[in-house]
Amino acid sequence: MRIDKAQIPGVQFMFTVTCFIQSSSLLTAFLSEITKQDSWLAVLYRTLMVMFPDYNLIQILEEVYSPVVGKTIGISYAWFFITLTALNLSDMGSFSKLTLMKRTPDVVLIVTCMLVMAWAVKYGIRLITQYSALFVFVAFSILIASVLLVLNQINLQNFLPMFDLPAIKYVQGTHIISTIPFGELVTLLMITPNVKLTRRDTTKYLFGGFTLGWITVLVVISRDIAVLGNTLPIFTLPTLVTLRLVNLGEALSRVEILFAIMLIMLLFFKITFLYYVSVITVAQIMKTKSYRHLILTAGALITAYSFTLYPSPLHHAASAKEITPILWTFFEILMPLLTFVIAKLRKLPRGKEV
Amino acid sequence: MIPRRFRLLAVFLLSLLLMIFLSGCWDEHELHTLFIVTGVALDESDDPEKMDITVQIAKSQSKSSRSGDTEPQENYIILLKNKSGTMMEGLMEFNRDSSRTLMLNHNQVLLFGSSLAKQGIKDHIDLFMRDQDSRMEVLMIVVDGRGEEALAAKLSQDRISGMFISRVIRTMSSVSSYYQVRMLDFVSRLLEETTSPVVPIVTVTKKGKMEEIKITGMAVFKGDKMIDRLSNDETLGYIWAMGDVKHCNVVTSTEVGKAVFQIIKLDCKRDVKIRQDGGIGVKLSVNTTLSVGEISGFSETTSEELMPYLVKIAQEEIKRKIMNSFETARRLNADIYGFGTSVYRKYPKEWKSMKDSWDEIFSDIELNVQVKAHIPVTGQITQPLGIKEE
Repeated sequence: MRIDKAQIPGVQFMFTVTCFIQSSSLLTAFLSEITKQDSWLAVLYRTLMVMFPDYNLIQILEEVYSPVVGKTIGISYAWFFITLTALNLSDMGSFSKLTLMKRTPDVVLIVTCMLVMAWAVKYGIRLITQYSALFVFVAFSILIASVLLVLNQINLQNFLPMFDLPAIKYVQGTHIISTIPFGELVTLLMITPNVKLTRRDTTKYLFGGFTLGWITVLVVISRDIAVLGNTLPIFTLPTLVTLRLVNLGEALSRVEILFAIMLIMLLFFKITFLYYVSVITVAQIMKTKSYRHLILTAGALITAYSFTLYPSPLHHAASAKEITPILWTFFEILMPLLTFVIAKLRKLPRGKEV
Repeated sequence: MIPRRFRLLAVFLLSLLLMIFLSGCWDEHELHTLFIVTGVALDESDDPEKMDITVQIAKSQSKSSRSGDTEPQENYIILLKNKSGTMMEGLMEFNRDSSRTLMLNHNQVLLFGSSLAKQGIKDHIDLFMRDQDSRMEVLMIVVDGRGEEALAAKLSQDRISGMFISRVIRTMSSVSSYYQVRMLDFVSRLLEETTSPVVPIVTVTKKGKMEEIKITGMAVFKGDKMIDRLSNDETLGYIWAMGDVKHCNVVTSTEVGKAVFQIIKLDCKRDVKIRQDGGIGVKLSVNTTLSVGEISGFSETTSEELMPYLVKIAQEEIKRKIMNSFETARRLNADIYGFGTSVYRKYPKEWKSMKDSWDEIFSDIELNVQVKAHIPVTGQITQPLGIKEE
């Protein structure tokens, strides 16, 4: 049984992956030490996708661990996805507050965005991913423009000495990606059945999207280091500061609005996708025929959740340090890995080879 | 299935909602509710716990008062002053007692009175980095005497002294980017720990009814405290040693004549080495293209000898200036060049043990300056009048 029967082409799948990574890259200033771990994760997710091309994550879990245990784990995953959505949503609120509208209460932006997202989710995965190519294109354009605009301020000396750059550093307040930068890609496993691709194409598009995303991250970080140098670690949003420094003549300055546009656009995409995945997960667990009834309920839940998740930034920081690393690792690495191993041992999926 | 009418209505309501809420009415900035700040000056106060804050605000002008420049300067700017412990308190007080909101987005310069600069400025610049409205590209300037005088100065060239200073500095930055010290540059050097930040220093002098603001060199900081200053001459040596000079003059004078050269391009390559005895040797290779700006004298010199001779005196002069400012830096024990950072970049491992004793190592640096000048252009005439043709 499939809830959303729409099929998405491989290219859209690729751009979805790119969009996902790009939206994370905007809020971080971390360095490439984690590259290995990330590509390893992508390999793991790809393997699961290829192993069970007709199943989404919940179905895989039920298949591998028997329906009852699978469902229990599935419920925890539903909680995880909803939490991710809420976290991203509250991030969008706080960052748009920081960059664009500082006196506007974030509830306004969050609720209005949530309404549009609910609308998008209603039309299903096809519509959501259709926008990914456009968003990636706009993000790349802004990125290239921003590099050109700060070209006169780049100091290549800032890269020296090699490999002695500030260690991985996360933007204060973003906890989502704090343990495993691209672990959120685990959500892709929920749309496997919508991506009908051959084994080779799955690899091609997943890694294509991954590479594009990584190029973005590298360009963003190199640009910020080249411009800001040793001051990079003191800023909460280095990219914003970099763009603020743009000053070409008297006319071309104050282009940080570009950053805000890119941020809201990409986060919008990511949250819509996460929202969709949350709704689908719940629908899958409850085995309903249509997920549409759930959209508004889930949306209201997520909105309220995003406001009450952390009573204060202090709690936020504490949990980002102590709790999330363990929990997130469980959902993003351990569980997929365990599932893969058990599926291999039980020789699943039975008989059906693609 | 929901009837079509309802759906249309829902869409309409949703768009209305978006229109109202996404336009962000909370953050409206109307010009008539704002005071646009064009300069901020911080000075030492008689109360040691506090500082004097002066804010210069550009008034929006009415058209009718444009008749001439005879208008008193008070018509163009407003100066607000108060005394408070921190910048934030000061701003709050300004906002409380004024009819409009202060807007720091367009702040051009951040001035420090020299006595405050000598006490250290680290604690005073936090707000300018933290606040969302302010920008890291604001220029930092030290004022000889009190900063508020520079903001209150009546100038013949520009009505708003904050704008004037920032324009002067931005013009200077076309000579070399090291003239322009943005907040970012200052903070960056401060974070390097061993590098001494330098900041342009201006002096306000009376000239009849008006005042004049002149750049009189660079203030040298050790950490965040100003310790001394470089004169304009020494500043040139510093700028040249940093390289990347786009245009500038080299003035030379010998017994036989005077010559002024224009720098077309000046690059300075820096090479640091750890000496046998553990000290640091720095080699500066200056490579410059000059053009002859003005020559007088040299009547005894033949035309074949003239060019090589000019190259030689230009090279000597550049070297002399660079060595001269280096001696000053060494005397102050202030690493204004960032040699420490160069060592760190080249020898990151050895640097760890050197960092703490950098002051001693710096005063023991062996500086070797090599200047290579080319003079491809002589201007529109080849020789000065009265030179012998052989």
